[in-house]
Amino acid sequence: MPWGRPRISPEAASGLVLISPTFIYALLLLATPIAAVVLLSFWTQDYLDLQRTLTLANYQKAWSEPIYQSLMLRSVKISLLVTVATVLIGFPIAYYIAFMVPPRHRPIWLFLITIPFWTSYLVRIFLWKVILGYGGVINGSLVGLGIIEEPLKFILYNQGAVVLTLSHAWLPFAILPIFVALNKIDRSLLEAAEDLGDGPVRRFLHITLPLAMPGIVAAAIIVFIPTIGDYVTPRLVGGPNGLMIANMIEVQFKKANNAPLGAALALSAMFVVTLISLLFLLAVRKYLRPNQ
Amino acid sequence: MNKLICHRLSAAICAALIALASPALAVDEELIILDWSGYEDPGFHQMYIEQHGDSPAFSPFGEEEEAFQKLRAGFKADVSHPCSQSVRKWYDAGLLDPLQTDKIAHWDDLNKGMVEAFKFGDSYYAMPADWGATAIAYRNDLVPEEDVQSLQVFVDPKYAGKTSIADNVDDAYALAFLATGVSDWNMATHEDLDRASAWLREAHKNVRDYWVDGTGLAQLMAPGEVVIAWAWNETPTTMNADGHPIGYNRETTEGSSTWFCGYVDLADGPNDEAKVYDFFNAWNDPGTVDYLVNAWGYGHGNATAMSMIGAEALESSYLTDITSVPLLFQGPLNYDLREAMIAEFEMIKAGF
Amino acid sequence: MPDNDVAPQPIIQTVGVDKSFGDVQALRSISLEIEQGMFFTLVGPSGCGKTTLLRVMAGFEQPTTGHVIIDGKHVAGVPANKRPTNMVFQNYAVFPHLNVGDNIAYGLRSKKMAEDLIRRKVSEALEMVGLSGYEARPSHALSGGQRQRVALARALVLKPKVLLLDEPLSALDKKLREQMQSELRHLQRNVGITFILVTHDQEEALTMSDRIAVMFSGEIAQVDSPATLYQRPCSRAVAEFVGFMNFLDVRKLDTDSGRVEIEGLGTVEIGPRQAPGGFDGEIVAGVRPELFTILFDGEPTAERLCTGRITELQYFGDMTYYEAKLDGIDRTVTISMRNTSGREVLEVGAKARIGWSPESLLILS
Ligand SMILES: Nc1ncnc2c1ncn2[C@@H]1O[C@H](COP(=O)(O)OP(=O)(O)OP(=O)(O)O)[C@@H](O)[C@H]1O
Ligand SMILES: [Mg+2]
Repeated sequence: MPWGRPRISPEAASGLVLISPTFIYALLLLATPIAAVVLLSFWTQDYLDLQRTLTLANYQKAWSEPIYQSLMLRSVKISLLVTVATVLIGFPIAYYIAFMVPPRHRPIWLFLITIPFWTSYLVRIFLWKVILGYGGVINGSLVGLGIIEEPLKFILYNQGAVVLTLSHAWLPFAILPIFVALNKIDRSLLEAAEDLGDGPVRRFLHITLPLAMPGIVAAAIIVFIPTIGDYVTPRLVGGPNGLMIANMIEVQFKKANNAPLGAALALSAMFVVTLISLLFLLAVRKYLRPNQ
Repeated sequence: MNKLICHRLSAAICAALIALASPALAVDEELIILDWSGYEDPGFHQMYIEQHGDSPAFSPFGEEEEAFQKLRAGFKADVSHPCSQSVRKWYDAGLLDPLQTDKIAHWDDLNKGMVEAFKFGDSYYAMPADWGATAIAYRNDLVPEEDVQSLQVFVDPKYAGKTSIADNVDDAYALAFLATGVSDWNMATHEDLDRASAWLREAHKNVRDYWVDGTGLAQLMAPGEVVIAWAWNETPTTMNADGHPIGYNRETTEGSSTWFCGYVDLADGPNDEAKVYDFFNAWNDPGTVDYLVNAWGYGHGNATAMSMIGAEALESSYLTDITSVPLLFQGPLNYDLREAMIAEFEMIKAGF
Repeated sequence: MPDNDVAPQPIIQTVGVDKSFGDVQALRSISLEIEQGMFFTLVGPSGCGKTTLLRVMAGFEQPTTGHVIIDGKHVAGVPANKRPTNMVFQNYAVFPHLNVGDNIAYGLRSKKMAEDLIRRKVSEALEMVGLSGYEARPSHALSGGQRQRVALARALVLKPKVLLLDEPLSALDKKLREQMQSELRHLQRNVGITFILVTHDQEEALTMSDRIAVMFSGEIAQVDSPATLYQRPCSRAVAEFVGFMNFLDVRKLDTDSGRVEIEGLGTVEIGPRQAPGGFDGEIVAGVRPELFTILFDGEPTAERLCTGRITELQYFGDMTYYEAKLDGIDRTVTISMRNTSGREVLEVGAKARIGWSPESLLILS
C-alpha cells in the first residue's frame, strides 16, 4: 500500500458526519450515565456525603456478603426460569402462527398477541394477584369445587409467582422473534427433509429447530437480560422470599443511603448478565452462522 | 372515609398514576407543595383557598425517599411533608429552612412532644401535622381476643404465614423494640437493637408479606390470608366501614406506637414565603383538624383542637390518648442507630 | 430408445388424476405411464400444472380424484417420506445449516444407515456429480451450479425408483445450463434411474428427453418422443410451443379427398398422417421454417414453387433466418437456411424463389 494514503477516505468522513449525531446522542444518553455509575461504584457514602477516594470495598461487599450473593443467585435463577418458561411456551405459539395459521390471518394473530400490552404492566401484575391470591380466582374455584378446604398459600408471594408473572409479561417478546425465525424458514427445506425420508419428529429436530435457533436465542436474550433487573414484580408478588437484586439496589440508593454500594451491585448484576449471555451465545454459536 | 387510597407509604405506582392525572404544575406564582399522594384534598387547606381563590399546586410522591432524591436532584418546591424520621435527614442534607414560628397560627396549641422532636439546634424545622397509631389489627372472627393481648403473638408459630408487618423500618422496629421491652427508642443502645433485630428475625418467619400500603394490607386481611397485622389505625377504620370484622388493640401488655409527619419550609423555595405560612396556617385551622379526623381517620398535631373533638370520633378512629401501656413515639432517631436499623431490616426481610 | 422386446413395465403411472385448489383446477384427468429407466420431461407454459403433477407424484399433494401407481403399488395416502421417489427442488432446498457432506448424508441418516457406509456413499455421490472432496464445505459457500449438484447428489444417493426434478436448471446462466443439461443426461444414462424433469423450456425438453409430455392448463396435450413431437404435433398449440412453425390460412377443405387450398401456396392433396389431430374445428396449415427453401440460381428446383420478397433477416453464422412476404397474400413466413459453402446471403428487398413440398405441410386445429 502506498505510504501517502489518507487516514480517512472522503466516504468514510461523510459517513462519520452522518452517524455522529446518533453517536453523540447515544453517548450522552447511554455512556454518560453508565460512566457515572461506574465512578460512583468506586466511591463510598457516609450518611449523606460521598467520599471520593477510590476503593474496591463496594465490590468486595457485593461479592462476598451472603445476602448479596444469595439475591444475585436468586435473580439469575428466576430470570433463567422465566427465560426457559417463555421460550417453551412461546415456541409452540409461534410455531402455530407460522405453520398452522393461514398467511392472511397471521397479522390478526400477531396483533392479538400484543393485546396484553394495551394495559399497563402494573394492572397486569394486579390481575395476577387477583388470580393467584388467597381469595382469588384459582383458590376460589378450587375451594368452590370442594377440591381443597383451605385456600392454597404457595401460589402467591413467592418466587414461583414472580416467575409466572414475569413469564406472562415477557411472553410476546419471546413469541415474536421465534415467529420471525420460523416464518423465514423456506418451506421447501421442510419438504426436502420429508422427501429424504424424515417423519415429522426427525424433521422438526433436524431442520425446523436448528433453523429457528436464531429466533430462540434472540428470544432468550431479550427475556433474560431485562428480567434479571426487574423490581416491580418481585416487590408486588414476590413476598418475603421473592425479592431480587434490583430491590436491593433500590434500597441502597434510597433508604440505606449507600448509592455507591447500589452502583456496585448494579454493575455486578450487569456483569453477571453479560457473562451469562456471552457464555450462552458461545454455546449456541454454531446455530447462528449466516445462512447464505 | 374511603379516601384512603394512596397513603403515607403507598407505592410509587400511586404517585405515578396521580402524576399522570394531575394538571401541570408550577404555574408562575403558585405555591408548590411536594406532598404524599392524596394530600392535595382541598379539605386540608380550605382557608388557603378562601385567601387565594385556589389550591396551591401539588406535586405528588409515593415514598419519602423518592421526594428526597427529587429535591436533591434540584426539584424546586416550597413546602413538603416528610415524616418524623426523614425530617432529620432532610435537615442534614440542607433542604430545610428554619420555621419562623411567630408566623404560625396556633403554634402554641401544637403537640409539645412532636414540636420538640423537630427542633434541631435552636430552631424548629417542621410543623407537626398528621399522626396516627401503629398497633395490632386482627380478624376478630378468626383470632381470639386473648391471643392479641401481647405482641409476642407475632412470633407465635400458631400464626405462621398469617401475619403481616409494615414494609417500613420505623414501624417494624417500633414493634420489635416494644416487644423486647424498649418503649423509648432514643434510649436504645446497640445491644437493644441487636435484641430487637433478633426478635424481628423470629417474627419474619410468620410473615406472609410485608405490607406496603393500606390497600395492600386490606387485600391481605379481607380474605383471611393474613389475620394479624402490625398496622396503622386507618386499616381497622376503613375495613370496618367496608364491613370486615377487624379488631384493633393499641393496649397490648408491651404497648403500641404512634407515628407523625410535619410540614417543612423547603430552602430555596421559588415562591413567596408569606404564602408558605398561609398554607401552614390553613393546615393548623381547627376546621382542617375536624376534617382530618372525621374524613381521614388521622390525628392532627394541633392538640388543643384535637381535645375539642368528641371522644366518640376519636374512639372510632382509634386515636384516644393511651396511658395504661407504653407508647413508642416514633420521634427522630440518632442516625447511626437508624442506619443500622435500615441495614438490619433489609437483611431480615431477605431472610438473613 | 426402448422400442423392441416386450413392453417394459411402467415404473410410475397416473390414472385420471384431478387436482383442484379451491376454484383453481390445476390438473384435469392426467393419465400417464412412464417406463422404467426413461428420461421423461413435462413441458408447458407457466401455471399449467407441471409442479402440481410432480408434487402429486412425490406425495406432497393428494389428488382430488384418480390415483398414482408407483412400481405397481397404489400410493394413495402414502406420505412423501415413504415413497420411492426423490425430488430436486427448483431452488434446490440445500439445508443452509448443514455442510455439503451432511446434506448428502441427510436421507441416509434418516434411514439409520451405519456411519462408515454413509461416508463412503457420500463420497461416491460427490464424485458422481463432480464435487469430490467437498464434504466439509459449508452450504452457503456454494455457487448455484454446485448447489444444484449437491441437491442432485442428495437425492441420487438414496437410489430412488424415480427422481423428480422441478426446473432444476432454470436458475442457472445459459452456459452452465447447457453444460448441466448434458451432464444430467449422462448421469441419468449411467445410473439408470427414471428421471421426470419439469421445464418450461421446450428446447431443453427436446434435447434431453426420451419422451416428452406437453401440458396446457392442467391437461396433457401430447406425449411423444422429441422427434415425433416436433414433426407431428397434434395441435396448433403444441406446434407453436415446440419449435417455430409458420401458419397459413386454409381457404378450402375437402375432407373426403383430402384436398386443401392454402393461401399463397395453392391447392394440395394431404394424407391422413399430415393431419394428426384430424380435420375438425378451425384449421390452419403449418410449415416448419427449415422446410421452405430459397432457391438460388443453379440449384435444383423444388416440387412446388412460390415467390416472395425478403423483408428481414437474421444471420447466425451457420444459419440465416429470413422473413419473406409471399407474393399475392398479406403474410410473411420465416425460412431458415443453412449457409452451406458458396451459398450467398440475400439482402433485404431481394426477390426470392421459394421451394416447398406438399409432404412438409401439416394441417392443425
Ligand atoms: N397450493 C396452491 N393453492 C392454490 N392454487 C395453487 C396451489 N399450487 C398451485 N396452484 C395453482 O395451480 C396452477 C398450477 O400451478 P403449478 O405450480 O403446478 O404450475 P407450473 O406449471 O409449475 O408453473 P411454473 O412453470 O410457473 O412453475 C396455477 O394456477 C397455480 O396458481
Ligand atoms: Mg412450477
